[in-house]
Amino acid sequence: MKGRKLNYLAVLILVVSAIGWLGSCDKIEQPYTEKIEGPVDTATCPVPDFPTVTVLKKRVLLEDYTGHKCVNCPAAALTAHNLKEIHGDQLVVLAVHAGFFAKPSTSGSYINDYRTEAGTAWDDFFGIGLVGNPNGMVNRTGYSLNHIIPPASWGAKINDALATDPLVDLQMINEYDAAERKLCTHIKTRFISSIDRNLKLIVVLTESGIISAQKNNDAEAGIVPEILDYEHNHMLRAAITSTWGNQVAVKGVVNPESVVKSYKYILPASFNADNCTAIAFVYDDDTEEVLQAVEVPVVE
Amino acid sequence: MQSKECKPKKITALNLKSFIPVLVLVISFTSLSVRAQDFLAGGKVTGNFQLDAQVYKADSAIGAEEVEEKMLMNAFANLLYSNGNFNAGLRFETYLNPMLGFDPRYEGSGVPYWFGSWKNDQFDITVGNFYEQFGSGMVLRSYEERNLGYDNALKGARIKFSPTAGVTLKGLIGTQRFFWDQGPGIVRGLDGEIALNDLLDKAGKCKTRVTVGGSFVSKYQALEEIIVNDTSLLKLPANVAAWSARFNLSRGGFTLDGEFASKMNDPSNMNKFIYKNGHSLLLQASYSQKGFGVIASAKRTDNMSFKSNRNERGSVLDINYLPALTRQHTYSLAAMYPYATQANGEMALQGQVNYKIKKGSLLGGKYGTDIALNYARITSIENELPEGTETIVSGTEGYESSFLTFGDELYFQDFNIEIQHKFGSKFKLLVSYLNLNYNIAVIEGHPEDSIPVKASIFIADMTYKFDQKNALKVELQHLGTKQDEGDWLHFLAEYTIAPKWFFTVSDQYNYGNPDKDRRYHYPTVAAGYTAGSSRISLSYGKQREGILCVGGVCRPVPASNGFAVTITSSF
Repeated sequence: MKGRKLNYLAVLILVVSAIGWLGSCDKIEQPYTEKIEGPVDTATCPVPDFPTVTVLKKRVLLEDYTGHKCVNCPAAALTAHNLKEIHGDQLVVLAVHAGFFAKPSTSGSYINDYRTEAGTAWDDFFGIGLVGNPNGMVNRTGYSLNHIIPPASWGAKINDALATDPLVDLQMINEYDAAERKLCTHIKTRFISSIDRNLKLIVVLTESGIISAQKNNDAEAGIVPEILDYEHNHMLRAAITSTWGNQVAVKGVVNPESVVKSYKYILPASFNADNCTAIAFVYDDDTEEVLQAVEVPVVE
Repeated sequence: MQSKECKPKKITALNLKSFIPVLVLVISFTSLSVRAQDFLAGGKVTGNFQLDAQVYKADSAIGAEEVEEKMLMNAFANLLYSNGNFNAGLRFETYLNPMLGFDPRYEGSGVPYWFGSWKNDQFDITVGNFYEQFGSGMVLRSYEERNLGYDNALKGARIKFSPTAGVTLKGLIGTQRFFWDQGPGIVRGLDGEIALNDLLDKAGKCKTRVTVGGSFVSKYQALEEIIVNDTSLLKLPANVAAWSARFNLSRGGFTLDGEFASKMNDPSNMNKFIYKNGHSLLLQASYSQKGFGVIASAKRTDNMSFKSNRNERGSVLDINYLPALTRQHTYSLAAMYPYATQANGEMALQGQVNYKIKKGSLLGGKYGTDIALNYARITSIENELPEGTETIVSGTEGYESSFLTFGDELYFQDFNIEIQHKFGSKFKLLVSYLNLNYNIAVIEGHPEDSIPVKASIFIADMTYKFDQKNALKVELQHLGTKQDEGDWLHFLAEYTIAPKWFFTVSDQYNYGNPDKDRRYHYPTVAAGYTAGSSRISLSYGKQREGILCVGGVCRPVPASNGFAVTITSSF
């Protein structure tokens, strides 16, 4: 009899806790979103006139996922540099410091944190750090199985990407107010033909000429095992748009001929504006593939 | 020479370090609580092992890519210790490096799975990693499917409690496996099942058996900032609940069961961050008697992807499982176009009839003839967007869908018939015909304007037994389609010398590829040797690119060319 009472008690406890658990959900009421202050402030960033494009060029985005404690990364940066020499403005290089090897140390030569919110989110999403550094993506093609490209294959993938016709064109005009450290960047996305895809635009800021320690095991790239005065180039410093960008085309909706987006960004004091560039790229939100990219210095 | 890639040293040491003290704790605790039982005496250890490895050779024609490591390997071993009411086990896994087609995030070695459990008449307690399913799995199922590289084991604690005969209660809490790590969400679940006959009709007089059950699952994931449509910040739920109710009724050869599941607002990357509630309904009726069986089932799913990370998109961190209502084909050309469950919405119907023509009749012959007829049809759900929108908008209800209306888009249709007959004691024949309609754009994510594949498949499988030991099996398969890669032929011959040896030669020939330069052969030779409970098989050949699905969950299989070995063993 006592055992039975205990059983009922246990059932009662479970039922009560189950009812308690029913509270373990958050019912969200409409509206489901809150408006946040947009990055666009046209009052302080008047939109300029864009010149007519006479020569349509395909430009390719090479993302080099790297870290200051990655010994093989200087060799990869050298590969990226050599490719940039070959392709000129048709190759846009973005060095993303993210993952295990980009973590700062608490003391010593590697205390600087070059990671960014956007870089870490991309690294998590594309799983590059998990595969290892250095690795990269060329126009983010091949997602989700073949998008991670080792440095040895960058050249071939860039050639493949350059061989395709651009579906959109991007133009960028930067206006920089040195007193306020205010950058107004204007990006025109022009659709070469009607595109029935979900397209987004990402704008980021990069900085070159950052002198800081870097581990190294390749004598061709510098002193082994570490280069204390290594020059970091094309380093992703911040996303000017949100991490995954802003919509420029919506599937099922007829595109206008072009879309102009303007963004205001105050450069932190630690950035050297003379060494900064803005990079914009448009990608397909469903396949992740980058369709076009453009890079313009902050101070022209 | 040092590798050209830097790889974080993280996994093995960490897992082992965390594992050993816990096992020691579990063992010490158990040896205290399982009184009067010598922990070591009477204990039994069992285990099994499997290793798959392949040496890859690039073949640009079929799309087999160069593999830097030249050889890749997946292997695992399970060890289980049981002693009376106590069990403890672990699984060691090693992927050096993961074979093509498996997620590269598995790279490394370690012990991702270990547990300790003990039970008495009423309680069954498990700590560590465990697999569990509530009902049909529509609100919770953690399982492992090695062929897919899928493992969403829970890590935490689970208690099963049976207060009285016929009543089973389960409670669990845990995080889910994410390769060598755990997902960010915490899963909490409760399930109760009552077998009414055991509770109310202890004498067993009632011929109708009824079981009812219900589940409640809640997941927690920390809030984060997600911005959609440029300037809108989502108000996210940190806790998302799902529940289900189910029944099972049987009498004689007749069974009827069903489950209805519902999920609260769960904006996620899978559903484009919409807030609509999700639903799923599964109904199944079957009848069987000697030589005859019939099953009819129906399912509706609407926005039922339920993951413990709202940002995930792939086949990882699923809390629930949506049963597939299609027949799983095993013959290689029949399995070329398998269906992948569409968690965002589908209406599915399936019927199957099995009939055995009696022995001694004209068509049945000496051994009888087995006939199986199966039909499955899966379409989209009806889906109405709010006025003024042409696509699903994140941060809204998304769309409306009337519960019982079928959508216009056909995802998958499969009509198939299979006949098996034994001609005397030596020769056995199986013939099968399938007619498939496969929406390649939806199922494989091909471009939206891809034409659905319509395919007819014929299969003949013949086995001739020369004597008790020697047998020859020949398979002939043909797939005819005007879409995708066109027509295929498949031939396989397998000679078995029981119980130790087998030898196989096979070829798949894409003779009808619309591109004449791509009419490739995919030949393979294989041999296997079995000794007791250990087996080794070797194969050399080419593998076509495709997708592999188990229970509606799929992974892509890349083309490959090379030498493969599989070793399995158990004790």
